[in-house]
Amino acid sequence: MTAKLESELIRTLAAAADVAPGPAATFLDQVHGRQRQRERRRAGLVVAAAAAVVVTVAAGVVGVVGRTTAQPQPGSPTGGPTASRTLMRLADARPAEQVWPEALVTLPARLPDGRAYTLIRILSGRRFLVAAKLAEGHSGPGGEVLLWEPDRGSPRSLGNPATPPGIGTTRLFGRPDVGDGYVAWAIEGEREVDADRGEYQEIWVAPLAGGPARRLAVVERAAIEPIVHIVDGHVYWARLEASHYDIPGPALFRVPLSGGRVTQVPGGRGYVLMRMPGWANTFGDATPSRLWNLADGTHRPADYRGFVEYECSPSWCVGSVEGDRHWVVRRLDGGRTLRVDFVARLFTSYNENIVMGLLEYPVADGDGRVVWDLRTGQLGTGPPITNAGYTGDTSDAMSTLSWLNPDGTMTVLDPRAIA
Amino acid sequence: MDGDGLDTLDLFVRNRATALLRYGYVLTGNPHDAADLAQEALARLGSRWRRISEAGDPEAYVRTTMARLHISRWRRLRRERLVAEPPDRGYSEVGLARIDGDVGLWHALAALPARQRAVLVLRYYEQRSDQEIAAVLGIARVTVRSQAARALDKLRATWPNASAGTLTGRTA
Repeated sequence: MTAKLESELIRTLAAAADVAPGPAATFLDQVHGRQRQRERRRAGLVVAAAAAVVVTVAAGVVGVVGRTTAQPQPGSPTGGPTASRTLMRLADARPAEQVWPEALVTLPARLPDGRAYTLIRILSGRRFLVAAKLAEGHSGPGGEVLLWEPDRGSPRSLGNPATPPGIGTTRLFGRPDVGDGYVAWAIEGEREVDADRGEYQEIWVAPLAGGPARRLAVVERAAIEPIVHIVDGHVYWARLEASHYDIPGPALFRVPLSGGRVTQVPGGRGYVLMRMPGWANTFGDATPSRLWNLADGTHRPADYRGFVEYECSPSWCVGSVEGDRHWVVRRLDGGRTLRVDFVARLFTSYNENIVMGLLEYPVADGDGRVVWDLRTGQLGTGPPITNAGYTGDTSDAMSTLSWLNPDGTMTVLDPRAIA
Repeated sequence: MDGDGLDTLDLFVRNRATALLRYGYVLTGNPHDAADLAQEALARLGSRWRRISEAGDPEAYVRTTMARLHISRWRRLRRERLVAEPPDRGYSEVGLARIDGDVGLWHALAALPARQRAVLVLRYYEQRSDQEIAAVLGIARVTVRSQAARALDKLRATWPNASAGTLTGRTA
């Protein structure tokens, strides 16, 4: 079926392109109008940046501003001259098991019943939260979440959401969270009919100690971000209300763990959740860009302007710059911006000083995994992923790195175990 | 930018707008967003016209920018609008009717996240290799493969139903 689907895709896309409307008479004028808007906006940013420098100098912290590494230019996440220098080299990396042996855990590659699984979280020691993968022929984990202690036998299902009528295969959607004795997760489903109604997602919660899982919310038509957090007795998520591409309008919502009414989080408009539990950041190109600790209500400034793709921890932002596949890491206190000499998609983890990523080796047809301790500068790598060995695992979404071993086991690196 | 630069940019836009709108259309699924995307990418090109045109391939820059914009800047605004506002009936039905039942596949594509759709468009419309797609989107090859696998998986699950159901619904 794959070959047929692929040939149909080629034909359908070509045919669709053939019927695409041509440019309107005003097309060129509109391009020039946008160009003028961009130039005005950039001019405004330069003025704002200049004003900020004056204020900083007046406050008597010239020493910080004077460092060449400290202040990235507006729209240029690579910052000043030192920032553009390569500071992290793949050649300096060592195998992760040599760098952080204490952070590695080995597990069976399959559950006792033979199902493959995705590791969601290492709860403690040898207690794991996992999601069983869908049957062969499908990719990714399904909606069932299980608590597993391999040394004690079979996993215990915490919840296996039933598929609603009219919805096809349901899957785990993004990153679950654990807190206050509960696990919260989202599932998404594909509509079997009436596809124009858009997305279908549900928010679920279950007590880790046992007890029935509960569906807390159903989200239809509006997209939600693939992250849920448990904060202060509530499950949080970000809903994206996009009336137009140019007007990003996300907002945070929450519902009590015990169930009840879904409410919009006061002050949460314009924010999306970060990977770090309990934190949110302003969306997209918002100015000023800020991080928000949802637990204590404090905010801190962040600068991720100019990144075309980014993630932040409470201390760092990692991102890519347009036209440059070498990602950079920027300290939020203005201290340093680091650049790597390898091509990788980097992401933050549950340890705010640990950045992980999927990298491309410059030679050989393979990819690999990289772990970077921003505090010590240590760089570790996992084994290469070859075409033949690619499993479609989603460990990057779960904030751990995992790989299958030839002996049928799976090795997991838990960033939280790196001191 | 001086007058010569503007003239040259104008010429480029006039010559390539149709092709870029076609590309934008298969990326986004509707003509309004295709125009938005193409105009934004061309505006960015305009700001850097001299440097990029001297480098020799402004169209590659625009296409790469379009794909990245669609994913990175707008990725979180995903399908709501695309699904809620399908292409106008006039041209789409006449045009898509020619593709012999694949309207369902076209609609199934609309339900994919932007990144997954972009990977498929680059692979099956632009005929690019996974390595090239990774370079265009600024992501790892392994991500290209995982996104393609998930996208094809979803299409396999929904395509036959969408093909039968949606085609009937849209032509009723």
